[in-house]
Amino acid sequence: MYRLHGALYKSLNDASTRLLNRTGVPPWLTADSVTAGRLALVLPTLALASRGFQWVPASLVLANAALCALLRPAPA
Amino acid sequence: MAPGALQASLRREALARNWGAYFDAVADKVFAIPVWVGLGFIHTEAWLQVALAAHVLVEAASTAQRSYALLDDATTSAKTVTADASGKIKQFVSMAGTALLFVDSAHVAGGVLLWAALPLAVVSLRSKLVAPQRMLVVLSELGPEQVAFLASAKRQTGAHVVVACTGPNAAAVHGAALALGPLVSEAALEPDLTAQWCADNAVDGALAKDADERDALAAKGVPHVREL
Repeated sequence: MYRLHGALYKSLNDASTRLLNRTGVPPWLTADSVTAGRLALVLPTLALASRGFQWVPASLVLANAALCALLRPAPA
Repeated sequence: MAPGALQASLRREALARNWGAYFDAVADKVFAIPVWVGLGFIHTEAWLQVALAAHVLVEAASTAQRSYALLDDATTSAKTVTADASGKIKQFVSMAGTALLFVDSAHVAGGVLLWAALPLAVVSLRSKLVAPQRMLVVLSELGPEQVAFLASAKRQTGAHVVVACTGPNAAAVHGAALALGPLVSEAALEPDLTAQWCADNAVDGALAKDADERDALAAKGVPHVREL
């Protein structure tokens, strides 16, 4: 389980590093701004869930977890 | 450093260094707790509501502990502020479970994952509640080199540093050590360093740079003497 988790972290880290190396990192794209962005996802998640949507809030929760994985180092 | 330039305090530097890790970890909770509360209104089954309430309580306690660690002792190691291994696995499992809880046809699987993540959440919280170790550092003088050593000891181990002041300048070193604030928890003036003294003062181990000093401390019975 932990190995699978580490592999997910590593692949996400590698993919984002490749993408940012190719395109350049905008000055506003800091770790803190991504954290603030994924924190803001709580509002549409709750709003859409309260309107009866199912898959969209579920996807937003997973998107938040994926962004979280991007920001954290892969386990040793 | 340029003459006349301002140097940030160790506390301010540590706060700046740990902020990103703290914000990242706490953002998870600030996202998840309202979502779990909302899911508690959607799902009325008792077994799901208990799991959701338990996660809310554990994560709120975890956030409080992280905030305390960051603000109370900013020179502490970032390890107490960031997520550890069990915390990361718990995050993975609980977020997958939370996502499934939004989907009617998969909410039972989501509830099972949430229950599975609960022991991991408790383990993660428990690891944060363990009291820091008390590590002994013996000093006969206190200059920039020794201050840097104390700062490294604090940062790398996250321990409470107890300084034993020895030698002809022991009294001056004792006063200066106590003035170092969060770097030094306690200082003893010319203690008789024995295994009994370490036991009486709840010292868990000692840190020393030189091999000779480490050997001397170990010979006196000081436990767990190690290099930094």
